[in-house]
Amino acid sequence: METLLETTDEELVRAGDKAALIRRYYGPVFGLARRLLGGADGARDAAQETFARAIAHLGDFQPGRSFRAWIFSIAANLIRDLHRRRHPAPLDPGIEETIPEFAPPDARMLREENRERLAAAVERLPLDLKTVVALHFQEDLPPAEIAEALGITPNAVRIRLYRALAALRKEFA
Amino acid sequence: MSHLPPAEIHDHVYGFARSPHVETCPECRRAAEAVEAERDALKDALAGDRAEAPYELVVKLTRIRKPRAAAPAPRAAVSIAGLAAAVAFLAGLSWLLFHKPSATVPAAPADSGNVPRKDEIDRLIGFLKDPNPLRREVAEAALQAYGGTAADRLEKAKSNPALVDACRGRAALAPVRVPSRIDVSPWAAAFESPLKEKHEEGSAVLRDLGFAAEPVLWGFLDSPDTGVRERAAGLLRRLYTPGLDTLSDPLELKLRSTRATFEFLDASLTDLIEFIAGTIGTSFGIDTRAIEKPEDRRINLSVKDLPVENTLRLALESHGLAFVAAGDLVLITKPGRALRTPRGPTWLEAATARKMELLVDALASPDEGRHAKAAGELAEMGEDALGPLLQAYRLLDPDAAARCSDVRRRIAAASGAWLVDEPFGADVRRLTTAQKDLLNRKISLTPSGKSLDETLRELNVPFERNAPCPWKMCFAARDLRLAWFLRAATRPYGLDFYFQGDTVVIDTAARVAEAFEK
Repeated sequence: METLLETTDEELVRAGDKAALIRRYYGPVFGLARRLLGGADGARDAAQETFARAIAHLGDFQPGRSFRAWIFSIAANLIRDLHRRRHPAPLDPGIEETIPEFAPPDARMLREENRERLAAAVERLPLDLKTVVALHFQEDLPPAEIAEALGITPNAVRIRLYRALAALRKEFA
Repeated sequence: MSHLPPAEIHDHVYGFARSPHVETCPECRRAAEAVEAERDALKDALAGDRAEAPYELVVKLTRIRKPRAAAPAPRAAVSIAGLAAAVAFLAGLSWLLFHKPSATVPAAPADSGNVPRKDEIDRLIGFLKDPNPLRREVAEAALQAYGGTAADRLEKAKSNPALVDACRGRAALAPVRVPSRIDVSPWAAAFESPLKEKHEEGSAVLRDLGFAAEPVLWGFLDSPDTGVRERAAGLLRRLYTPGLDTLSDPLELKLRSTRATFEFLDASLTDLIEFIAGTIGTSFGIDTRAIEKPEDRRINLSVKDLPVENTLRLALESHGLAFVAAGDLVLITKPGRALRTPRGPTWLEAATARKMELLVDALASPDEGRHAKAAGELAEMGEDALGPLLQAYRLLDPDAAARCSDVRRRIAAASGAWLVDEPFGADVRRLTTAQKDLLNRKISLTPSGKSLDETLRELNVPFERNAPCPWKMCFAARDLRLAWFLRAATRPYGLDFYFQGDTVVIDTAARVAEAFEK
């Protein structure tokens, strides 16, 4: 009999196996929410709402798309709405347009004893930068899928990623 | 030699634009390695334990919403007619629940356990054009229950576009049908009887046979008797209502329909059950394995003219507790500790329903080589499998029934729970008149905190206990049948009981099952 590892997302969607999809993606969605919202309680609610929305709209999922990108898209939009309710300050309009001046990576960032400090520095990033960082480094999404999930161009992913790296290096400088 | 600017080094490492120069230039290679090391450090810093999807969330999001509950009944005593109907229902249900099928029961003419899904749906689509309006109406309801599973075939059959759209907008479900070896004809004959008591008994049994009764019910839609046609249509609509779990037992009905005013100020849980028991004349017990020191749990609650069911829920939820109707008494326990099998048909996502059907078939088959794997996989499917396995227990031969019962217990044990509606131990043996009299004896208890042994001695029940039971008993009971006290005093604690002559023997559930269900 097939195990979950052998069955693709598309096969699970086609079969309507919602339970398997929830089990497969709960961990990543919860992990993303916890990183972006800064706590397990809010993350649980956000994860539950993400899957409730995904299941309600499973019929809208287009075959051939990345289900992973789709579920992260729902999660990211939900988290952004939650964040806006708590922090209504507008985003920096220049954030999409230019990549920063790059200092080289700081050797202190690489030290194992600074892992917690590095994670804490990520927590302090603005939401849009933190989202790209979490999707790439924590959830291992390639830039093209991050672009699909966030509804932005690959270049916008690139700019946000590099601005995040610049901000993190500045913390360790 | 010119070197790449930092942005292009990053583009190379992060895959935005690979550059062959990086591989050929030592300095650019070093710069890229530094960026790669930073990337690895970030991955390491942000890695964490993966949370697993909570079981309750999976169930909540994939189970179909239950129909809206009916408005609470007005405060009134249950009528004599209602009691008579309840007795008739219980008689049929007791036969079904606790009677192990004889090995000589002839096979049913139609085995509905393995009909291909498209054939089921095509048959229903065919009924949409039937001259019988009742058959058309039930078929339409049935197809809507299938939802997305039926949409494509409806469209292919050029059915009413509104029905196609309605199905497409719903989840793609299917019922779990279990194989049947039972002859339903005696109950079908009772169903058609003009005598109310008989046809109510027939209805109760056909209802509990689930889809095994479906062929005969469709046939009854052509009966010359209006009552038979309407009753059959009602039972078919019930089969085709996903998520239906509204059939309540008399005790649940009583809690829902009895309203009372209570004020509890810093009352203990034991005081609460004693007071409510005395007020409404219902027995209560506390699962002391799940709830240590119930006398230390404090309740502050003031309610006026509220259904007792709601009062209990309010009082218990703040302590993370719940209650379940276990026969003649209400048992206070922790959520998920006492499982009750949903009383309606089981509808699941179409693929999961098919998988479950195949596994129950394998478990029921005479091929012993298939049993262990099927049992393991059904156990993994968890509480969704409880209903179909209970159905299969009722419908199959004794050996297959025992395997189904075993898997149900495994499912409960996996979550540290027990099954309120699982017949085992003394239930599955023929009892002598003296044994039945003992079990039917009415007893009264107060929450004394005494041990099981002390309680049984005070009740003058001859007993022998072969397994440890360190928990204190906590019951507020009046006119409670000893049978339900014994069940509530043993099963939540992993124990069970049986008779040896006139002596009640208490042992572990596993040893009792091993000794008496083979």
